[in-house]
Amino acid sequence: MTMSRVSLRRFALVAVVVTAVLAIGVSAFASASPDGLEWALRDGCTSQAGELRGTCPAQHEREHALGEFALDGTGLAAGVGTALVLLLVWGGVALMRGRGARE
Amino acid sequence: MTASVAMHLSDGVLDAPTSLLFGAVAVTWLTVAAARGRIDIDDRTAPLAGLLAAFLFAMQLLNFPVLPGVSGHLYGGALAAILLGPWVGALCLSVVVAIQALLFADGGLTALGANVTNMALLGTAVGFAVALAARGLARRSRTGLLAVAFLAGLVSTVAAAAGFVVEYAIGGQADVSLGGLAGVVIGVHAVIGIGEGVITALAVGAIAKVRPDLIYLVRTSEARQPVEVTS
Repeated sequence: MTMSRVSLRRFALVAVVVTAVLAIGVSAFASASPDGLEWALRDGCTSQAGELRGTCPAQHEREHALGEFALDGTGLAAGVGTALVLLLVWGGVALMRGRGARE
Repeated sequence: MTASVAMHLSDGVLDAPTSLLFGAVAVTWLTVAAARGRIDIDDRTAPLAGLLAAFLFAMQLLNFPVLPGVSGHLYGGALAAILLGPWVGALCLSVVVAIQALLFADGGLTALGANVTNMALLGTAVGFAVALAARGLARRSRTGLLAVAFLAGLVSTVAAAAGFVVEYAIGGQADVSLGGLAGVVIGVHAVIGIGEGVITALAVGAIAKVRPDLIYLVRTSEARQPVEVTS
């Protein structure tokens, strides 16, 4: 596969733009229905005033301990989370390489 | 309101010993991944891993409809494994899952080990195993590469779901039929897996077009330039 490759810089730029659009557009695009796992785990229960009633795998589910401090699913929060993950992983892998490449 | 946005496994579904057990599994696996993954790292890995992690983080928030009233989202294990290899891929996805649990209340804190094990470790390992088994096909043609990416995405999603069923069999907190649970959880994830396979194939296909050398699965050994540590 010999073809003109785009530079890593340009590749990264396009990837950042695509990811930013996805992250910031989260609240607009995402389906609000429960995801497959949540749906399967609540099968058999009914939700009454935020409490699960009946018998289902999630019936003893607890509220997230950090729930009230958590960032929400808005575009801004998603953007912040995305940027944080980018920096953590890029930096972390670069550090791993730094230590591994020492000869 | 806050409870309805949870997408990964919450606290209280698995009992404490099981949560602890899979916390230990995750820590052990990630320690091995950190040691083994170092060999796979070259100049391009750190930026690619960072960009991929950010992409996966955003994609995990983007639920797509799979059945009436049910949605799914990308897990990303196969994509991470195909682009970064099984070890760096697992580390990358673990950070995504951890940040979701710690900052977005998505996935419980005691369930973090189980969530990391299922999505970041099992998903990546099984996705890579499928892709590796079909690597010849992936190298032969673009269609082959896309087919392998699709299949790896599909199987990795089902594997992550199966991981949860095993955990629930060990330490589920409610008295429900395990066979029924397995059927529903694995069944719905087989449908989600089709979406996972399509997104994995699209992403791998897009990268193969512009920078095929960035795809861990298919790059040749001279392109990878492994850092041979002579000691």
